[in-house]
Amino acid sequence: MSKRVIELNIPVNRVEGDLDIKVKIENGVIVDAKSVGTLYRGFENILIGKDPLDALVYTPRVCGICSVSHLLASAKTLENLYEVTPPPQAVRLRNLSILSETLQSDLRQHYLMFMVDFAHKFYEEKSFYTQANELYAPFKGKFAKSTLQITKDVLKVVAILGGQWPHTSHIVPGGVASANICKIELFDVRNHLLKTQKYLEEEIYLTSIGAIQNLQTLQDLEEYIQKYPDSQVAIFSHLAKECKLDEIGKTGYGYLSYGNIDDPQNPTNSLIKAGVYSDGIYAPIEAEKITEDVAYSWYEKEKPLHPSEGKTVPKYAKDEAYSWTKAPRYANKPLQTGPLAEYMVEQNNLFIELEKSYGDSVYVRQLARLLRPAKYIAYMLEMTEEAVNGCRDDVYISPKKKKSGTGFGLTSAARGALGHWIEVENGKIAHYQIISPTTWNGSPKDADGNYGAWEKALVGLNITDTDNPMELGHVIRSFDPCLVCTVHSVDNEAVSYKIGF
Amino acid sequence: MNLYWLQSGGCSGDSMSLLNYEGNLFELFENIGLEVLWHPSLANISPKEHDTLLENILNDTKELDILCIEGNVVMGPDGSGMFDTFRGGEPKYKLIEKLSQKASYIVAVGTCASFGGIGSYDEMQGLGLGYLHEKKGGFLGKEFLTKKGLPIINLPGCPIQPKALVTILQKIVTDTPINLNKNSIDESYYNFTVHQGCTRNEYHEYKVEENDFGENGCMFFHLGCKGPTTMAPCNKYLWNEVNSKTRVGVPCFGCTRPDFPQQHPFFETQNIVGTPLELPKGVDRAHYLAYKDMAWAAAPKRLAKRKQRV
Repeated sequence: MSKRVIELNIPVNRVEGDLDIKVKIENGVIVDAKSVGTLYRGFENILIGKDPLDALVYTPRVCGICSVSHLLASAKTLENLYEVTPPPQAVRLRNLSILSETLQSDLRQHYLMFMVDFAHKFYEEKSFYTQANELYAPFKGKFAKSTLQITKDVLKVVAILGGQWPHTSHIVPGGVASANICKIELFDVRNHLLKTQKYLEEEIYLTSIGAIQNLQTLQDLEEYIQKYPDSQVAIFSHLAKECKLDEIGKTGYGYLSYGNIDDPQNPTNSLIKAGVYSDGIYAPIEAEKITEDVAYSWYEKEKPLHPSEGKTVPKYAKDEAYSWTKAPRYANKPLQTGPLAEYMVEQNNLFIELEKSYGDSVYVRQLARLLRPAKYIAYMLEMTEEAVNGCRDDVYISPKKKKSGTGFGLTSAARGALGHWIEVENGKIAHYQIISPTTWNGSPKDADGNYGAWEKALVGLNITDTDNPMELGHVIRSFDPCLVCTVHSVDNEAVSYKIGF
Repeated sequence: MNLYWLQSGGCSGDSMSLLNYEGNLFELFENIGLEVLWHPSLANISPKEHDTLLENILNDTKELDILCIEGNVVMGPDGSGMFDTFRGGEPKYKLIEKLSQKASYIVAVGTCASFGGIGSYDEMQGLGLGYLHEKKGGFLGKEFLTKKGLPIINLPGCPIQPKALVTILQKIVTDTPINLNKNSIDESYYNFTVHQGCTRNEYHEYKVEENDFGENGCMFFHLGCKGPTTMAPCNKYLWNEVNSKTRVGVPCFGCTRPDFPQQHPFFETQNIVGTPLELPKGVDRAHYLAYKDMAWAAAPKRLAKRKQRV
């Protein structure tokens, strides 16, 4: 049999127009995949020589979708450098800000990015097509419209606490800049959250948030799906199985989460546990095990280095290189990050059972994103009550600014593990490195030949229509790609260019 | 009318901000008869369908009314544009150049597309479509006019306020005249300062100033606030309809200004003997100094003691 080999270059640009996936297809099956970020903005170099606090203004602008996450990461990085601990009330307000951003991102990702594909005429023969159109069609679908409305409400929480969304800078080393957030503001916050809870309960889950939180086994989930066949979880599960989303997109890779929701009393600890979960074993994070490999990235060859010392010398003509993204590895292994990783690292039993049955498939990965708002809204309402009680407490401790030193900050954005690293000399930034969630998930191969998570998830995938590789879109979107946040720096050296393959 | 949205060197923050429009954005498009041919976050046509659409626009079989560009035009490294490529091949600027010839209206969405913004001082070599900072020219050149003979419409902001864009789109669709100022900015939307309407105004009035975060006073004198020197209605049309940065205690960073991002620290006001180097537009320094000293002497206790919660 003669092989039919196709090389495809596919833009997967739902959030940002700067991600290309290059795949080699033999007889309808992907045999090789390359994840390519096509945009380089150089934030880490922009920051060199700047005042350390300027990171609070620049880094949110790495990504318009998770600007609060970058803001929090940079503030934590500076807190680590200045050795200051934010007071409990500040931590509560920070938690409310970041959870609001993440919750809206999960909803927008599911309805405005992921589900719209099922309303495409590619699926017109499927039983769900008519319903998918009514619910998810761009601009017109019921959930396209209602998601837009409710996420605006969630984001008002960030605006109340921080002035605006996106791109505010109210989180600062030592706490928050926000003055006078007390009952009037926090009751408003609570009203927006209660409205969001109502939306989740009445439109998405068709049951209480508590009931969703109590789904602890696969059997619980199946019973819930049977009992509430019109819930979004049930509709998604049926559609996912009809499209075999429970069979595709698996990587088998371990999971990374930097935890979420800082403990107000001890903010270096998180209420949702940080760690690495791999082959059924949990281990706490050891940040020194994080390295970045450049074997297949457009940078001068060097051994994998920790972000605090990693150099970035561009080399476009480098053989075999194909991405601006470096390849972050943990103890030399690729990991995946995101909502599913968060559930796995906290060893949520439902997701451990789901993963056992369906692997880290598109279905399981996306289901994590669909269920996570239930978890968050419960924490957020609790955090609001605490904040109301503490609203006259300090929200800021002025740090003693060091002229030199290093620091790092780890947090979770909607897409997963986000880390910033800084070095300061003579009061100015000398080195800044950002490893964003998409850098983990969308990384190229490393020197050992290990694929990044997206690439690994694609190899072996069947493609029905190479003009419209729908399956590939599902796999990549289940990771919630965002390439604006892969930000690696390049030194100002003369270089020769060769982009392409 | 129809609209094609292209993202270049940016963070997609303007797109995200647009989704926060107070009404229902999707219904608004429908009501005013605006068809979104392509937006990376909103359209669901396949890559092939998108290719065909682009091809048809470029070979004139499909008329393009409005081209919205978000993000700057990336010229780095060294003028090659290869830091931002289209489908990993040609530099994105080539596509921007071609599409710009086809649209009747071009809207530069956000400060990056208008004036260069983030990355315009750096190796990214980001250019605004028609300007680099305050200098006319930018990527498309000083003489550039759209095929309808119109200048580029700049809507600065990092990000834009959704109302700024929605207003312009309605003006275009309804053929309402648009007044552009010397920086090609829609004058009616950006005709007063961020300072106007700030709830800290009384503190500013009496020069009750802050050196650090978490307080009530004015941030113009030490904390780097650019509110009095930045044209944008942030304190008239509130963000997310509820607030603004300056109200909550975050200085204005001057993000609608052509020179954004400033090249000195954001959280420090450049001072000469305690008075900002850059004063509100048109203000005489000697008079301002005298006025502020007297104002401080006249400050009521409730302000001096920061009792007035903002």
